[in-house]
Amino acid sequence: MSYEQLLQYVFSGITNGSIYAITGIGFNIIYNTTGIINFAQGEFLMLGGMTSITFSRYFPLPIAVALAVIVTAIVGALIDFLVIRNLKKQSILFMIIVTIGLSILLQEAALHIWDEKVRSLPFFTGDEISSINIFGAYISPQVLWVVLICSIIVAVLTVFFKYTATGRSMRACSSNVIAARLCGINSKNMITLSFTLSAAIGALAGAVVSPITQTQYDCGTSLAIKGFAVAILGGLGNSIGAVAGGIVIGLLESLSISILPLAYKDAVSISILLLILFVKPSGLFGKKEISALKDF
Amino acid sequence: MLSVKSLESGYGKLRVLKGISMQIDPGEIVTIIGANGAGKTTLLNTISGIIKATSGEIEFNRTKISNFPAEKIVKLGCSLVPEGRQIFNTLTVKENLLIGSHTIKNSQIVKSELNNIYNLFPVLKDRINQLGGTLSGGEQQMLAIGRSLMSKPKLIMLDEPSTGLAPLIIKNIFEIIIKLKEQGNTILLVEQNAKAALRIADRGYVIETGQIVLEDKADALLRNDEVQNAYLGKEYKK
Ligand SMILES: Nc1ncnc2c1ncn2[C@@H]1O[C@H](COP(=O)(O)OP(=O)(O)OP(=O)(O)O)[C@@H](O)[C@H]1O
Ligand SMILES: [Mg+2]
Repeated sequence: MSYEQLLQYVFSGITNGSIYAITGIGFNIIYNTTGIINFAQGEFLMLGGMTSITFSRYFPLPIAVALAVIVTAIVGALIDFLVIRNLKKQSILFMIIVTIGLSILLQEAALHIWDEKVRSLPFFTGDEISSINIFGAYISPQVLWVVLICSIIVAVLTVFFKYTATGRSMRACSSNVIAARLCGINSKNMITLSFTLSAAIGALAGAVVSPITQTQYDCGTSLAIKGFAVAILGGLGNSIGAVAGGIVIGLLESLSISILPLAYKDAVSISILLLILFVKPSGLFGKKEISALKDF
Repeated sequence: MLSVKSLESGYGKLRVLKGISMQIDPGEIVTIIGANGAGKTTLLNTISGIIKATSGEIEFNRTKISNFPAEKIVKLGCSLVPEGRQIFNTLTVKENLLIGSHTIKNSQIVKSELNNIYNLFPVLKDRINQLGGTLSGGEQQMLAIGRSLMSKPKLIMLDEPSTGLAPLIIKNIFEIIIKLKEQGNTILLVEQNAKAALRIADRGYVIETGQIVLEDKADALLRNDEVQNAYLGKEYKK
């Protein structure tokens, strides 16, 4: 493999890895406030892609994406407000099964609203044949958009959780929900907020990858599996871990293409997921007690 | 300030509190003593809204709070320092305290309250950026008390603040409680360490299997034979 080829694979790995990382962070945000894995996380990406494609027919691209993020965020909030919050039985396993149901529901809804056609958002800059030469590798400008937007999301979330009162309250809820309530924090609202936030960043990620990976009513599933693998690899609940995990899985996946047939690409992340679950369930950077807390 | 009437509560089918009545007046230290499993924690958790009362009434400053959620009760000024401290392990000391002031919107007040806490607990000031989970047991207890004070409560309920602490630290915690009373706070203190609690309290209640069996002035309880035998240890008599 030539140096340029290697670089090409590395860039593609980083691109996919960034998306997986964002999906993983989406899992983490909800996991941290509720202890549940939201299996409808992939559908937030799908919805973000689909709605921004529809809006882009009527509005300039940035507005279309912004609207898509808002709409998906509302869907996220409604999921908690109408479903999760009202569950009689608040057991972790039960709630996880409910999110699997929601994921199927959202896919079916998307199938009815749109159809099974594969669509994609226009490239943010240039088109499918524009490319930029970086150190000898040719990459689409959209790749830079993906990496840029993912970095911005991570940076904004870091600031939000570290330096704002609301972010601090969410962390308090994930650290000790009873103590948080004793301090006057409405933990149910924090859960709604975590669904809203996860949906919003999922939608943004779904829109920015759409030109590269294309969007279809069921494209959320595979993204969710990758995002889940990444969240586990990085240690559930750990967002920096998710970024590292995303890059690792993205790179391994894209390098595997250079040796293995393309069809094995998805098998790579699943194998890593299984391996981690067998060998070190707390993830590469996770804490022991977190994995001990898991209820499933 | 607080009045509890025929309060019953428990966990699922398990009835723990079987009709508790008690009351606290402004400026008092009231202590509740009782054996392990008597229902002291259940009582405090029910007052603070963590557990729902199944019957009876709780009034706080003439507001009926029996059905209020925990987050609303603390807003009214009734704050619990829970058993086992329950501090936020993954937040820094300062963040723990700031969460404590969640109900206070005026940043000026938060700032001055933060300074008060640092004066009361100088060790916390030296550790503002340390994670809560890495503090020692005594420091965690101080943080838990400080966090509760950050909401400027009218009534502070403390659930076994001395558990697991070295004698010197316990002495320190009790001095702080006295200081809080001197500053005009009202305190409900639950303690295993009945002797120490009765010494600083104005009044006390003895709770046995979910019922109040005795209530009196604290010094009277200290002299009471039954209390001495059951809670103060034999050596206390002489
Ligand atoms: N979460 C719970 N679920 C079921 N039963 C509980 C729960 N917490 C306490 N209990 C039961 O309720 C009873 C009273 O417990 P509680 O914690 O109120 O006692 P306590 O007086 O605070 O004891 P200690 O001095 O040991 O703290 C006990 O029999 C206990 O087993
Ligand atoms: Mg107790």
